[in-house]
Amino acid sequence: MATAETPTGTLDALPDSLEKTLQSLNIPTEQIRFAVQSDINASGTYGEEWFILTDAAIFTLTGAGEVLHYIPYKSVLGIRAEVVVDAGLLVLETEEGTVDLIRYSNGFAPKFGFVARFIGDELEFHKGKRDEAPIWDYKPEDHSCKSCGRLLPDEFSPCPACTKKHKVMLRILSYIQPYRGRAILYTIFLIVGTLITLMPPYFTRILVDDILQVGESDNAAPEASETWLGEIFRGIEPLTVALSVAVGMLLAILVISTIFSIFQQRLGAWLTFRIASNIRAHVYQHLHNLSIRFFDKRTTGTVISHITEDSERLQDFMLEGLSFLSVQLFLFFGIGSMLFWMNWKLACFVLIPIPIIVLGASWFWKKVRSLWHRAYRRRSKLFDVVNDSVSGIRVVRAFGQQKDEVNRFGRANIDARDYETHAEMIWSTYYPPLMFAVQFGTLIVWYFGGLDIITGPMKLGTLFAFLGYLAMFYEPLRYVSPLINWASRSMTAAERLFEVIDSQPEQFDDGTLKTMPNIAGEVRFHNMTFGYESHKPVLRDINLHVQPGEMIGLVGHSGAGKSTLINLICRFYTPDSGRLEIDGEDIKGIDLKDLRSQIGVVLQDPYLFSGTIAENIAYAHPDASMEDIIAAAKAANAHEFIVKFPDGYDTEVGERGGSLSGGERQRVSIARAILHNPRILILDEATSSVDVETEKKIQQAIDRLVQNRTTFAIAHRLSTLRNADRLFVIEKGKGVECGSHEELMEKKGIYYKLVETQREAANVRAQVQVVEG
Amino acid sequence: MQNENGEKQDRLAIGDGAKPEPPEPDDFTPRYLDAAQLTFTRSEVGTARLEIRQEACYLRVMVRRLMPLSNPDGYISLGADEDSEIGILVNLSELAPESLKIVQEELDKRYFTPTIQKIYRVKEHFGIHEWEVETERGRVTFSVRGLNQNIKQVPPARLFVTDVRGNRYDIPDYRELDLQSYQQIQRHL
Repeated sequence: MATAETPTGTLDALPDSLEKTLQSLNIPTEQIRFAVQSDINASGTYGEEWFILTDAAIFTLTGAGEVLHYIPYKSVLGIRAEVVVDAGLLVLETEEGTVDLIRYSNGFAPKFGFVARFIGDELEFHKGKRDEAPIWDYKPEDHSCKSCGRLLPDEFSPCPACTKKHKVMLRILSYIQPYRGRAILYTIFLIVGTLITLMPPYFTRILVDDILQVGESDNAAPEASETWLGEIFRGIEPLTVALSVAVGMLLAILVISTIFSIFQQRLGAWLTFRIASNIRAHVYQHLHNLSIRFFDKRTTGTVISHITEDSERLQDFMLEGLSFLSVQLFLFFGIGSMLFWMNWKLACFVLIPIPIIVLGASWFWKKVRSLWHRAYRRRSKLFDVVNDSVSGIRVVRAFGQQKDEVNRFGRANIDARDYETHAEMIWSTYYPPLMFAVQFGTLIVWYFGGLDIITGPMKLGTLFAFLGYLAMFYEPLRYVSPLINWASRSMTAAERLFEVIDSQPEQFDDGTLKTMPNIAGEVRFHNMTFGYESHKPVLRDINLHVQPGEMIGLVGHSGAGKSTLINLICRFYTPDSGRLEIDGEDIKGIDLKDLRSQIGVVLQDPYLFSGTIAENIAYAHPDASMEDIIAAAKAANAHEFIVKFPDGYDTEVGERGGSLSGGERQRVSIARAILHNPRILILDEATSSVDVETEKKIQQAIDRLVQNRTTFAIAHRLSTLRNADRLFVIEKGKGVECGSHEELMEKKGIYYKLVETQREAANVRAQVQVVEG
Repeated sequence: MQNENGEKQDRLAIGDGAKPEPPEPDDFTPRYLDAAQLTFTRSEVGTARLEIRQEACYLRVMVRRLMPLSNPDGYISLGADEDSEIGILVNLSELAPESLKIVQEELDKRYFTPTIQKIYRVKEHFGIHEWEVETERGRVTFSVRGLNQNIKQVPPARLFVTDVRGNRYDIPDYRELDLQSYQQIQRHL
């Protein structure tokens, strides 16, 4: 019975206890072909259950070894994996009726989907409906990190646990490499600038202690100054000169610090924008090498935000956050040591409020952030309501729903108001106490510093300098938490950008790729199966051999898999099993550049890029001569309307070709395909959205286009496929009929029925037109 | 009229054809079934069988909720297969107890979505949130990627959590959870 190889171990390993159970039922282990574990039991609670295929029967067992089903393989007619709401069900068709065999949660669906496909194919093989025994090619989908085993944030990302934050930072810095010299200069500016900022309070001290106070207490015996600079000032007579010198020096410091600041910020901007734009360019360039699957898994919005928002966030942080952070860090330690140097006892008092400020601030920011986030969500919901009803304003008026719309807005509005008020009120409640903690530090200094002055050891100037430094010292503490958040969010943004760069490209050139500069156009599907998710095949066992230059019409109901077939020919995806060959070469091994340069596509709603008509026609060949462009436009029946435009071939088509009509866009896209001169041509509903007259023009153009090219055409209107050499009918993912129009009409199968239905519909339309006319 | 018949035949021919034909000839009038006329039984192989008195018998009836979220026990669509509906049952509770039991078992089979009753913990590691919860189907641990996309809120306070493997979990009203669970939700939303 077991004709196909089923390597054990690729699915779940059956526990010994269950193996013994089967042995007690006279089934030796050698007869077990494979076992699959499920996570839901028959009563619908979480629990272990097993599906087992032996040489002669299908079993289901509970984890404890109780046999639930025993069905001889011979009596099985069919098997399918049914998708129910948030779970799956393996269903068996037997001679006795339909059996609900085993239940499983969605996580097990790929596994059971494969089992159903495999057994189904094997059953067909035994019945002689299939030439080959199915191949055991189960590949478990694994989205966990190879090195640490953690789940990846998504299929294509690098493991966030294994990419360390500092590595991300280093990677960002690696983009500085080309601008090393300026980066070093920037760092020097930064350090020197910070040092200069530290000087004014120091001068205050000298100003007070060594100049002003000396003047005040003339008669007291002048003590020695505490600083060397102070000593120098003591030596200057008269005091007014000393004062002017000191103030002059302060002025100089301010001027220098301003100049430094200008240079530092200019240089910072220069560096940041270059680094950010280089990263952006790198990401964008990489984006175009990624497989279409990458884009399937993400909405257009996510991809766009990757390149715009994430890089902007990174840029903002680098521009402002990074220098702020490094300056503040530098200042914190610089001032800290300054304070201790001036008066270590007082400095100790200064430290007292720090834990309160830091802890309080981080608690505060965390709370406020989540509140703001919630308020922000309400507000965006409010905008959604507005957007919704303004875009649908005609519907609102037509159904007279103004009042309800106003109410809907009112509710969302009040909701947003309440959340925003709450967030603001929380902010207003907790921010002042935070400020108080900061002020408190100053009070401590005033008191204990004051005491020190009264009792003698400290001088007034030192106290002033101390207070001056203190303001700078506490300042950054309040922002520690949001800054850290900012930093970590920017690192995440950077990570996401690098994730795009690190994602696997569509094709990896390992040197074995086949270059095919001249494709003849032979296309062959061999037992090909494919699904966007591998456990839900969209196409099954497709077999089709197309000769070079042949035109194939793809026919079937919507959702049958026609467009999927085309996606595979374009190699946007690769088959899950079986082969797709072009000129006898597996499509996976063909250099994509060569393949794509010889495939042309005309879609139902052709995408034109903003630019002129000439640019759009020459999209794939920017160096095409004007003669080539005109020839292509002529052949596409596009020339005739292009000449009528005042700007002729220089006419701007607008965003997505908006200034052209559907039929005109279509003909421009055909001209584009003609100029591209592909060996394999794909027409996806190329004539479905235009009027009859235009359709005729387009049809003519298409007829010229398909000459000598292998063509795959999808059309709902079957009459447009009349030139096809063969028609391939797809029904629920399977190729069911293939042959010329006459052959298929004679066969009276699915194609015949489709043609008949369309003919009747056309008759009705004709009658209606007659009556209306 | 002729055309309509033609289309109708077409549709049936594309379907299995072997199923008993629904009694009402047209497709566009909803048929509401009288609970008193319905008897559900279990076949030998375990599928749900429906008998409509003096009319028809369906070997494997398919039950589907028309309003699974807002009214799970009302408006149940009964189908002979994926594509053909036999009729709609407005109120489940009107069924005889034995029939009711079978319908509920079938509904339970089709609608798996576990309801979260208690949240033991939610832990985050590198963007993956690991949840350990109690559901009516037992205790379970699952992982959720990036909470924003994978938690859907249905106003006012219903939450649907989708894990990395595509399973969905329902929190009918998070405000009614016990304090510990509520705090876990608050902390991460």
